[in-house]
Amino acid sequence: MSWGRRLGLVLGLALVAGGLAVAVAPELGSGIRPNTAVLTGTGIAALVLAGMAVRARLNATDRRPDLPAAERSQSHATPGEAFDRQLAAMASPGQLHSVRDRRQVRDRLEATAVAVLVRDGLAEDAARDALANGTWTNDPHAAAFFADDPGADVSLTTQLRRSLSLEPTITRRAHHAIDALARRAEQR
Amino acid sequence: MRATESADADRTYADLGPNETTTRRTERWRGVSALALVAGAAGVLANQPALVVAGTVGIAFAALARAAGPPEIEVALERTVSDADPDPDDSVTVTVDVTNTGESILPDLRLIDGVPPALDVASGSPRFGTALRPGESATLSYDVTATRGNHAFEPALAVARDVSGTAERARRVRADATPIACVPSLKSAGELPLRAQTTGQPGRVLTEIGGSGVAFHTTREYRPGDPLSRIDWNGLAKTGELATVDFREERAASVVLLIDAREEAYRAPGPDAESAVERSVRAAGALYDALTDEENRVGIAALSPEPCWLAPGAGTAHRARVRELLATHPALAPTPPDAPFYPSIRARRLRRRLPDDAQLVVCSPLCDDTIVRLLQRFDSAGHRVTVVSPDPTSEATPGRRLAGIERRLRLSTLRSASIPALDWRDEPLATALARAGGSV
Repeated sequence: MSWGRRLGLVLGLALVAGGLAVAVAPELGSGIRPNTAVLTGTGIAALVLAGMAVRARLNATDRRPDLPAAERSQSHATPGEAFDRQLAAMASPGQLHSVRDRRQVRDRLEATAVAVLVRDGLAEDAARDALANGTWTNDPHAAAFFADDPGADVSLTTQLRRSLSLEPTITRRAHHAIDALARRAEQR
Repeated sequence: MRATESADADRTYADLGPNETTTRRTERWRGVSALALVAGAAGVLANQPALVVAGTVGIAFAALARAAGPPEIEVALERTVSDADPDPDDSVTVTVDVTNTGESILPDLRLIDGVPPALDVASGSPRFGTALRPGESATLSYDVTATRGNHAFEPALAVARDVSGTAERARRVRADATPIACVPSLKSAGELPLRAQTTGQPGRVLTEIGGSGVAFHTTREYRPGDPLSRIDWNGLAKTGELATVDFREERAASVVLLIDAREEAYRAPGPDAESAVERSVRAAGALYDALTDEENRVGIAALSPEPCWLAPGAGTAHRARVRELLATHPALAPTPPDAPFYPSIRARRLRRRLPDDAQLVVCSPLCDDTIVRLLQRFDSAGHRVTVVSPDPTSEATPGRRLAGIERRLRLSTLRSASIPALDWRDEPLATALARAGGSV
């Protein structure tokens, strides 16, 4: 404790003790003449300090340390969880890493899509062309994820519905692309 | 060990090392000074002495909170388990006796026992709150459900507060206890067709070598000394030429069951589902049983940071060693390893140990491309590979669906390289083997 705080503590304790003594035996304070200005000032100062204390209390963060979860056995990750996190980060433009996440998501989806199309019998170049032209699927949202000109075949109704949707366009297209790839992969 | 002390309130208690101590203020009475000041101010401004006096009560509490210090934690724990060698799914009762060995009273002691991370608490609670005078003891007990593995207890967490609850001290307390070792028996789950890579010993693996056997191989020109039972009498009647029928010889194989136990293999389709490593270990036990029944020599190895190797063999003693290894080897622990895995180094060491004529049966969830490349290298190096792949993927989210597609692509890559790969979904292994119908 600093000297200032210690001095304040001693002064405060002395004043509290004096006040209690006067409260118990009022004759001890017979010589004290209450000054209205001093009392009002003291009251206002106490109110200001109380306000500061309340503010400090409200701003205090809960710093309770985490306790070990002893009851449940350690759970294991599920493949694809990291990709879900990247998709979520990609949907929030305010995040610093969203550009990097966007690129990683696109690269991974494209590699998987090319592998699926190659497995279906296309040459790698033809698979990339099919992705760029959007001819690999009937789903316009899925096609738009990889297409060079994503807006070309989208109807006005679809565009209107899309503008009213809360889900970001890039995320919606990624979801559709994954579903279209899953359908293709299951066909074999 | 000497206790170390820190006062970093931002650390979680889970990060504390054994016998490490930390202190913090609970902030329980934070704000009481504000109440005291409001009461005092109202009393002064409204000229009400009673309110000012009431405010001093708050001051007293604030002073108490400032002055409080946490008590020293000097406790001894004694932990006992009802069965240190249970069967899987057995309930094991854990009893912990806590004794205050210090000289001061512990008015508020909370204890969380260090339950082994791979065990679930079935009933009771490993958490306990009490007050202990010096020398006094208390007991907590709870039940855990046994699962495969050697489960060591972790140090318990003891948190003690002063009477006002303002300051607390936390400490990890060790207790000597026998680990719970659960060793499941090996249960056969059906036949896995092996690759035609065999030893010179007779067995039951069909080879492409012509000779005695049951399955037809070729008809060849008669050589003196051929047994009469293999002469093609029908051919002799038709053409008048002597010929001998060759059958596919049945020989024994030398098999190494290789379990993928890298961190990447500790995956499960949901938080409560068992990991792919757990399923792989169970599959390895079942396959060991089935393959040794067919007179093959079978060994065990793991792809993990911790070396794990048992050379191919057979017999009662070998079987007991396999059972023990699959249950308790650290490389196959129920929780993932922390150490990094270096694929090239581990693969080179494994290749040096593999007998020349050994083939591999690999249990892996195929969660990354590294394992596919490794298996292709083993196969092209002359150790024929068969894969049994427990599926840890799920369809719940787009990312999980994508991981499922990638895994299916890996299965296709292996199959197109002539490596048989069994996709073992959420079903018993016997069902998956039967679905494959003898051709993985």
